[in-house]
Amino acid sequence: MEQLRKFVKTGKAKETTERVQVLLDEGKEPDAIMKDALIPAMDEVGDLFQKGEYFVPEMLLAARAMQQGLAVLKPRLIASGIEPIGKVLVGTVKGDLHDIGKNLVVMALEGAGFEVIDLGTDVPPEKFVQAIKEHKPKVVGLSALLTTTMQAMKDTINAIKSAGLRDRGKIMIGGAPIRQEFCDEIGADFYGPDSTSGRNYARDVVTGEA
Amino acid sequence: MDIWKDQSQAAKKERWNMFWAMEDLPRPLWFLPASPVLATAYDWLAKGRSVTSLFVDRDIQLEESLKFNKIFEHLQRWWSRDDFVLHLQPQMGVGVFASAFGCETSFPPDQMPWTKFAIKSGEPAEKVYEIAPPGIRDGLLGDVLDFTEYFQQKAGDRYPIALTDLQGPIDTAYLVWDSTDFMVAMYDHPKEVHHLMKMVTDLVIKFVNKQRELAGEFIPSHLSFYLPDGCGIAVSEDALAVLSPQLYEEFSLPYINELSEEFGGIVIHSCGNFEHQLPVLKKVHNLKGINFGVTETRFEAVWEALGGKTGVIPHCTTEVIVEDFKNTKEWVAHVMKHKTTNKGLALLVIPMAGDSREYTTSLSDALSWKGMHNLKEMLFLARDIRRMVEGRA
Repeated sequence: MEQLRKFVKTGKAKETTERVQVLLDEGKEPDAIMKDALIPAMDEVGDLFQKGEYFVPEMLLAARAMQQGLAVLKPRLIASGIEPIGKVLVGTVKGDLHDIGKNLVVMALEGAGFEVIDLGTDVPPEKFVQAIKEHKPKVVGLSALLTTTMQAMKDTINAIKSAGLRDRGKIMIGGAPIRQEFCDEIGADFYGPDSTSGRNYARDVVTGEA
Repeated sequence: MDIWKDQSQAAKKERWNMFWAMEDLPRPLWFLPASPVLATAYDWLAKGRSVTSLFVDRDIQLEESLKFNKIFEHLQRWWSRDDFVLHLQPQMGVGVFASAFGCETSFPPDQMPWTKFAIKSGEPAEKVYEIAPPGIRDGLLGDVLDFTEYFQQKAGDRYPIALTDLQGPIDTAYLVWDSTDFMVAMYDHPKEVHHLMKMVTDLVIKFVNKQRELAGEFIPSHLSFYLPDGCGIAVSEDALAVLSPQLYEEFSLPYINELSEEFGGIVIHSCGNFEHQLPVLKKVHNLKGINFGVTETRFEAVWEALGGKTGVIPHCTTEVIVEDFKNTKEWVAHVMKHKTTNKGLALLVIPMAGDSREYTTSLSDALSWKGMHNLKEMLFLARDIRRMVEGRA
């Protein structure tokens, strides 16, 4: 398990998938591989990012290794009846094509055991509404990079309210120009300055701590 | 003439010449970001007016720029008396260089111009070899050159013409190649990344030399501060904040140095927190200046590394990473407290309405409804900043 954690942390995708397979062949429980190796490795990567020791490319590499390891593990997790810890819907709001921040959040959430529905970029409010109805997520994450597009977060929340879906789950927002005051102003539940805080908030939501 | 009292554009240019020459100044420079097209675009967006024609129609872009300059010239004379140098700028958004590599660009009515990746997510890195080195009229670049020539013919005798939006080689490269894939490719496909970086750098050099040739009096900066031609070139280099020093040094520094060698120096702008890159910035050949947000990278850190040795141009934005400031005066006071000399210091002041925490994105925005409800503060803002930079408050 230690070696697997190291492979994920250093972004070695091929070695990660091979190691996951070896551990499965040795009879390790898929749930244990997830909880004792993949999730702690991504937690560590998030910590390194927050400390300024890892930067965006290193985060992306680690997340890719984790995703590929998870792909090997997924059929066994499903076969064992192990469910994701929760469902999160994410997207970059209308008018905004930036996706690195959103992708980092997606990877952090997947690394923490969430099922993530990623709507992509330039997502209009009505598409969020439709996806909430369809997937019933516990958390909705909205991303924006520009001061000119962050207003679309407000439109999205208003559309969710108008559709009568606001109390179905929590809404978290993030992106470079976002601040806590803006979060309060538009009626979102949480502002996360980085992917780790977004992941932690989603965890708190599913465990009932938020 | 006393260039520190004179409000003419010639006097303002002289002050900037002294700034870039790193001469002792009686006060730091300060200026409002009055780039005409961007200021007008933000104003129109705030009013719900379509901005498409502003970016695609050269007559409208010129007419609106001249209108804005005329108003701002009066404001400068009677209100701000700041150090901004009026100019014209052919402006089509951040993606003009990327468009030459085949990126689709659009001009929506309710947004600033967009560009989409030419190498999309999941496509092989080798696709970079399918892109032929672009020419200086490919994509939107031909239009930018036509706008430049037209502006020069119509108003080149009144205003200098500034460089169009220049995202540096690495910022342009990850507009061309899906940014997430590009970041990972720095580890997996370094050869392909360097191939693209070289093509972008070559294009920038060829294009800027052509724009300069057409412009008449040319300002090789797209960043609202005045930079005399021959003194270097200004680039946006937001990769500084997101890359490790090792990756930055390997993948961006060689190309930044190539631009610096070509144009006689370089001025770098970056958003985000790039304190970890300060040692690498010392390796930039002939670094003439650095422009950054004081809420994103600590002023003290930049000043300690570069203050008094290269131009330091701080500003304040909505993005808060390292430090928050209640209002414009608070961050200006912070800078004045920590600077140790006026040499090479210029403050880019984005107006903010009183203590409302409503940062504004342009002067015209500040002077429209957002500013009007705090008219008194706005009127006194310029006076107070002048007093602060002159050490009288």
